[in-house]
Amino acid sequence: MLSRVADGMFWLNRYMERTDGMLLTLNTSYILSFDKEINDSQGYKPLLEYYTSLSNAKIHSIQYDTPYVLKYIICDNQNENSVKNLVVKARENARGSQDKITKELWEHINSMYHFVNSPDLPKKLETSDALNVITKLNKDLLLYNGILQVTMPRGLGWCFSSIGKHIERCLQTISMTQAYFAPINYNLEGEEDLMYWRRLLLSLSGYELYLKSYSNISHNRKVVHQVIFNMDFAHSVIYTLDFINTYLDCLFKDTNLSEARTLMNQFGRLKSYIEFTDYQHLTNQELEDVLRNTKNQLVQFSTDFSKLFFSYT
Amino acid sequence: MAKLTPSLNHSGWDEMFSNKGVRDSYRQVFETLQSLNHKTLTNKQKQASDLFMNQGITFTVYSDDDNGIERIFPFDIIPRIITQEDWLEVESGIKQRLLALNLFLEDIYNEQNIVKDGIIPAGLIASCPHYIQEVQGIKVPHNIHVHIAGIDLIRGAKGEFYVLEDNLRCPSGVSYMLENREITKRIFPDMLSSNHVSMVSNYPMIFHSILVSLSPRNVSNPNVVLLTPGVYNSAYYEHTYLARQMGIPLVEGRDLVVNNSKVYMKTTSGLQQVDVIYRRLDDEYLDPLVFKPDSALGVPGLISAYRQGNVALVNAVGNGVADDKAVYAYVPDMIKYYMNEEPILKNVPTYRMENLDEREHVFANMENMVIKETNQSGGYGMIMGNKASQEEIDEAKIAITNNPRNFIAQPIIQLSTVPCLIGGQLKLRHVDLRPYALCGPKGVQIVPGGLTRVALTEGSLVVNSSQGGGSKDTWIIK
Amino acid sequence: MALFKIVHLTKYQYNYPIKESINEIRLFPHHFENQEVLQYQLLITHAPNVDVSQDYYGNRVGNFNVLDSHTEMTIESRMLVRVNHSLKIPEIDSTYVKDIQIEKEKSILLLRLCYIDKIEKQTEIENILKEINIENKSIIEIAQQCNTYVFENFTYTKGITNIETTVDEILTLKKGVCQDFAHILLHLLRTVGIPSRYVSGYICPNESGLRGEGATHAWIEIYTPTQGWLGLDPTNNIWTMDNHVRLSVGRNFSDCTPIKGTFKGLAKQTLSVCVSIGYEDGRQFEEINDVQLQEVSSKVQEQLNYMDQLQQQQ
Repeated sequence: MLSRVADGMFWLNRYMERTDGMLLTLNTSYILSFDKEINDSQGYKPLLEYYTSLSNAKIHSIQYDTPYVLKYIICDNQNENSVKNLVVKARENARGSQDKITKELWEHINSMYHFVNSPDLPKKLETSDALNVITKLNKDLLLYNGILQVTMPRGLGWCFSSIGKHIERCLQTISMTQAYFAPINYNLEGEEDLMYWRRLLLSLSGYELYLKSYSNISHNRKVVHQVIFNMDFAHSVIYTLDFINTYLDCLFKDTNLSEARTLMNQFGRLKSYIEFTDYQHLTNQELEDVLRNTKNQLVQFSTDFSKLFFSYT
Repeated sequence: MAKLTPSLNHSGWDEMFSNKGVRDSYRQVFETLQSLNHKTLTNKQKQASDLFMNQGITFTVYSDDDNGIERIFPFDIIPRIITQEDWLEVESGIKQRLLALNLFLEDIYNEQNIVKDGIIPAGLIASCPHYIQEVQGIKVPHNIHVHIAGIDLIRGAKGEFYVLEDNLRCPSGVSYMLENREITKRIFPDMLSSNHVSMVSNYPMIFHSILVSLSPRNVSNPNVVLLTPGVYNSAYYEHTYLARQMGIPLVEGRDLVVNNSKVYMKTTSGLQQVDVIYRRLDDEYLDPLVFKPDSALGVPGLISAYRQGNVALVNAVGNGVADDKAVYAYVPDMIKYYMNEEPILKNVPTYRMENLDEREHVFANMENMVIKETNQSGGYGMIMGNKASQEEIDEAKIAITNNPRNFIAQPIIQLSTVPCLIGGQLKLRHVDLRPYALCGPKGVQIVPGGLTRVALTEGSLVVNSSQGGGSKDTWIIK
Repeated sequence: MALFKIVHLTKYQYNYPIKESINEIRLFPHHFENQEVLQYQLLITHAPNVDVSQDYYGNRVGNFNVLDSHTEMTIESRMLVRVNHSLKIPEIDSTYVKDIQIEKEKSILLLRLCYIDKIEKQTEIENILKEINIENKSIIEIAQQCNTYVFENFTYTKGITNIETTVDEILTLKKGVCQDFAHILLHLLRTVGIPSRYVSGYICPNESGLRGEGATHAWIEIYTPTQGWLGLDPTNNIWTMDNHVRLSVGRNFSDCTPIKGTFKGLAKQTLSVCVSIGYEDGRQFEEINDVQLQEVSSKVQEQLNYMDQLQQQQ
């Protein structure tokens, strides 16, 4: 497979996964903003901190400003990570690798592109139609994932797509977790209630699973288990890393390159770091370190991975 | 629906209506159209546009806005019909012409006998900007230079065919020929089979087998790629479409690298040799070492690999010398010189501005002439004498006098018309026809069909998409 | 008859490693009439394969590449050349420009060697020709007088022109080096209708005193139906002699560029050229040039930045 095309499929899926996660977080905060919680100390702050490059002061001033945030996140041209710009970038990558993408997937990305570019979209977001827009976009992303699963051929392109998607997802989970643990100083023994954790869990599509899997007192440490160590949770750090591992094996099985071995070892260390962390005896400091280090190492891995496979220019 | 018969108020040839009424070839289509009400027709038209839009069959119009606007190439749902009898003439005429043009290119880039024998003046070739001296003497597989040609045809006042121009470099639009048919299948599913319309969908298969047959390496599965200038090219959709239909990789210049005069593509598992390149990149961008040094779209060293015979380029480099609008005037002579045959398809009479007598004749009759720049295409650099202002005509005369080699003139020909659905009514609009001819080691093949381009502006004779043209599905019926 | 041992060394250096260096060279002296290459050797760092072919003008062209990353490339061309020149000034025969007409009409090559690039100062060229008074003169006379005109009216000055200097600019400056002199003379002769070509090569001054004392040199050749190609050196106001060694010919400098190349990578490139000429009697002449390269144009820089950005999606 052409390096450039592999690169395109990798980034197409990173951008789509980013859009998906961002919309889920937006949706969660937006719905919850209807019933004014008394102790909602963050508003849209976790969303804005991770997904935008706004200054702290700016975030502080708009973190409860729903109309502004909706527009900024969904269709602001100036925001390079707005849904609109992400879909544009995703589509550019899809266009560049169009001969390896199914017609169904292309047409879907294309229809999303036309939707986010429709001139009346900003107006709609000012009205009660806003919820419909967000719901439609969320559904479009679900549909994207469905079409991806059902129509795309397995093989090299699938490997690069899957690895891109899960690197992005893992980074999201870590960052969102940091956004909710940082304000409480990573206190694992704290007594934050379900109302607090609900926001994080909903943002990661993990609320129902949490309710079903864990007893309902002293949530802090259990939340950590769910989002980092739970192999059954499709957004957990360990699950996404394991997924990446599977597809790396796939990519490397026909390669004798020494760089491939180095990269595999690098990833092995990153994954083992999580696997061999004893969450039951995890300290506050260790939690902070695990999240930070894993994030840094994963970003580094993504760079090295790109260098090995995508250096075509 | 009585409104369907448009008024026949022009002197030219209409392909659906004669002065006795509907022609036989169109009878079924006409009856179907009549059975549909205004709303259904408009809906079908809308349905067709949506299909194009959703599939991303668009070109981008860039403006001040950062993202640009995507537009479709307008499609008219009423098919253009050509009878089998007419088609046979077109087919044999194009085959003959393409053989002669290939012989001409082989000659010009080798012995140049046609010049030495005084059939074509040396000055005409020497002054042609698309005569590429850098490929002089390069041997191309099977001596074929033109593998794919788009020969533009028009029909005159009596329905007779003329060749308007030859496109022998990177003719585009074939994806529209194929997609238009797919759209028709969806909006008029029963009309196609009941009219016995010839199939065009095997075009990619025929083309692919020609590409494979050109491989310089004798391997069972040569690597064939399509080279595109990239996603910002206005024909990018077509490039992806053809790559996908033929199952070949779509590459950009930066995906390729030349090593020891062989071309390789950069894949996730290392370099892979490339044997045949269907390139949709113009000659002057192909290799910055030989042509434009600042072109980032091409592949440095490509021409060296080509010269060594390690890679085949489709079309060959330097074909522009044969589709130059001034050289066009000599194609009938080429047919006689190389093949000892009379041309089957007529040329439009063409005046060379370098010839003083011809120039004077043209200057005296500007209102009946169309002036064309010899090395422009796509409807650019064209002046219609009957539409131009006095000022434009004066400017054209000065430009011609300053650089006569750069222009030709032709009498304005009233192109034939076909009715189009415009504002819910049938309106006559002028059309041309571009069949796509493929030439491989086994000869010339033309899929029965082509791209019918239509000038959507009333009375306009300019069909190019850049000038407000649209297209129609083209049926060859048995 | 003269025998020369010429060593032509070109060295590229890059401040960062670059890769995919793809090159085209015209460094092989021709077996022209009156010129014989007795020995030839080409040495290139990283020892790449060199594919040799012939171009439109009969020059031998080499193509090679170095894909792996590197910071330096040297190309060393060593040759032993014998020039057998009659040493006679061409006969003033009575062939006129109109006498080539018939031959030209059958030859794309000769016609192309008569075409002039569009310049703004074409009238100035016409005026020079009027001044020389070309009416009723033979090709040889016209060529010789144009040659003298360029020699007498343009000053040999190094460092003010470069390979991209246009004929218009030279006409204004009235100064330049051998290459500029050649371009002016070509323009004059082509305006008259005499097929003329640019020649790049080496000049091996037996007795010093020839202008353009640098070893690499440029001059022109005209075509006459009776005597074939004849060399004129406007820098020295002479017909070429046995100390002119021909490397390649073409319409102009760019057809004869000794080395053209592209590479990938963001690096600044420096180039130095050294040519040395050894004579039979053991004397040695050496010319060293640190070539000032054109700054990367803003457009190219933009492209480089763009490519760089593409690589770094985030």
